[in-house]
Amino acid sequence: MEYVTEYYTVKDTKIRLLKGGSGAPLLFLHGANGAGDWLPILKTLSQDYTVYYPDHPGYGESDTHPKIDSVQDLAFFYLDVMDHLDIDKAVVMGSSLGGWLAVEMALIAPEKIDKLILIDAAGIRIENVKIPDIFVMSPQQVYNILFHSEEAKNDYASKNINSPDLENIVLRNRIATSHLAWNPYFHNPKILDRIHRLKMPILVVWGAEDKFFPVAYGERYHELISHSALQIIKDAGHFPHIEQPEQFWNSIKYFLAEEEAAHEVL
Amino acid sequence: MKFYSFHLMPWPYLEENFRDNNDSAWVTLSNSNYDPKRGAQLYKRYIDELAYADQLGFDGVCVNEHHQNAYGNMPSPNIIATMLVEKVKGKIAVVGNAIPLREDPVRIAEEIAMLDLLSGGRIISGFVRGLGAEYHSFSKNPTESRERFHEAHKLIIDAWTKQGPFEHYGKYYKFRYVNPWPIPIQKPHPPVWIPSQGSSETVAWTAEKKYTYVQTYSSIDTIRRVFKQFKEEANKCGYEASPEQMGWALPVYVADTDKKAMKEAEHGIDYLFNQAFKMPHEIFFPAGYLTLNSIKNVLKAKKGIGTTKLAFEYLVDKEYVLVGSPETVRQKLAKYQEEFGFGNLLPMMQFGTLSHEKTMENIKLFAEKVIPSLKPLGEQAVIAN
Repeated sequence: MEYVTEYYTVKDTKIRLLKGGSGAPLLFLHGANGAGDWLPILKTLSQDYTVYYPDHPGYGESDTHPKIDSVQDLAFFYLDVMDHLDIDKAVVMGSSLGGWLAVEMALIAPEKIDKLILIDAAGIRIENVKIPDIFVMSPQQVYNILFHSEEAKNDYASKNINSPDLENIVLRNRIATSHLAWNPYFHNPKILDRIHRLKMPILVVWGAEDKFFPVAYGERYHELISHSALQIIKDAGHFPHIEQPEQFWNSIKYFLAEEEAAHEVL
Repeated sequence: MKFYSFHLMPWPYLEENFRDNNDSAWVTLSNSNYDPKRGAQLYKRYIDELAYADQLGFDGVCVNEHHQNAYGNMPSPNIIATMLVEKVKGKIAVVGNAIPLREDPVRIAEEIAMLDLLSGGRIISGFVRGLGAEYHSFSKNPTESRERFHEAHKLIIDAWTKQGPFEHYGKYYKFRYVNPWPIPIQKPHPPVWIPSQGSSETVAWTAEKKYTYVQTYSSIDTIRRVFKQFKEEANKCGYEASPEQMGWALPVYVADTDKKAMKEAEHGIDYLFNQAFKMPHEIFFPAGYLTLNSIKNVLKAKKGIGTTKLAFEYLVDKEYVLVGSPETVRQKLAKYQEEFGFGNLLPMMQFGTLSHEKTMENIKLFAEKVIPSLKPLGEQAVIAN
């Protein structure tokens, strides 16, 4: 079996978790669009890792936690989840809002993070690089922003139209995202003063055609974390790990395999 | 029955085909479209219209709060209420302050207390959550809207009624000294009115608090459902809802004949509902503003204010608005008063592009030909369930 679906109760909150593979633990943190299904990239990763792919509280099939009011709160919750699952230390990969979450976790408990991969991560703000307000957009308009290829836009949209369960999940996900990212919009202003503390190996991966957080955001993260590496994925929007899984895998596999931190843009 | 002349104070100068060429008249429509010279004239005109209604025998006037749009230009209803203190003899109903939008709700308690004293105890204090669009305008988190409303409400009522200084330590507001000078003259505090579009939670809460519930313009089916629910909720709390506790706010236009009224009201009604109210779904209902069940119901509904074009005939037919000769309007109101039992009518006598001249004629005809025969209704009887 490729993966299993498990449910855990942490701090009185039921969370759904997809888990597959064997090896060292890897925690993959989804973005504002939700976890969805077991992605092809997770299958690849599960060859070398035990991959944990949870729904954040408030998203997908996980309950809402009444005291999680910020991404930092969510980070503390996930450290509790790691303790609950007996995960001492993990590789953490985060996409979009999940990337912001990964940064917050690493700032609070760096000893629990083996390596960090930030994929088109939210969390910081660049003064003169305008980003779209997805909170005033229809779901279709949001898909158009997030995905690069027409095929990916339509594929994602059509998945949600036909099933009432999926419609329910999409609505819940949007509410959960409002709750976490409304204001300050998709960032924590304090991260700029704290990010210098991150010392573990960090790879920043960005879709070249990201219309939500343009490449300038990836470059800024790379600049802020002086020892980080930066990989740009061609022909990909905000979710390069979904739109270009092969190119994405090739850009991260050496980083994952390395014993020491990477120092240059490859 | 009591009559309170309601005004939105709209910007009536959007282009004819605004709806077709623009996404929204709220939040993102640039204020470069706002001409302050015309704006100043509008405020003067609209205040005169409210004063005129009071002069002709309405029991009071209403102001309300909206931000950053062409629909209603009263971001501070308390400022307009202050202008009205010397100009009207009747009640001044603020319907209402959007209490979750202010950083410090005690400022609302202070301002309403000042108004209560300046007016000699004529203030009615309405509280609203604020439309979803206001949460975009102020970057306030819509998922916190309901909780903030309830905490702000408690803080304001405490500020009016508890001896200060006292500490308020809540989830959203943390103040070491709550001790407002002045406090209101009306005891225990000014009447609280709760305007709403009909959410079940709001109806139930208003009944529990024994406040006055004001249903804002909706289809007659919604009106019917809401007043029924309000009376049931009051019964659940162990009392009978009185007519004073129920209000209905909607645009009203009267002219000599039904045909003349329909002809004269159409442009203004269309402007109100289809131009000035236009906004994308996600601005009207930011994710988290409504509960999951409510947003699902909204998405299922075929038509909705703001997000779909509503034909004038539909609006009249479904009683979103009352338009006709004095006799037609009087009969409808009498019929609905008997059925629903409300004791407060908040007719919007000016709407959209309706001219000053037509507004004044509307007010005069309504005051002279409709109000007198309806006044005795809903005064004495307590409504049984």
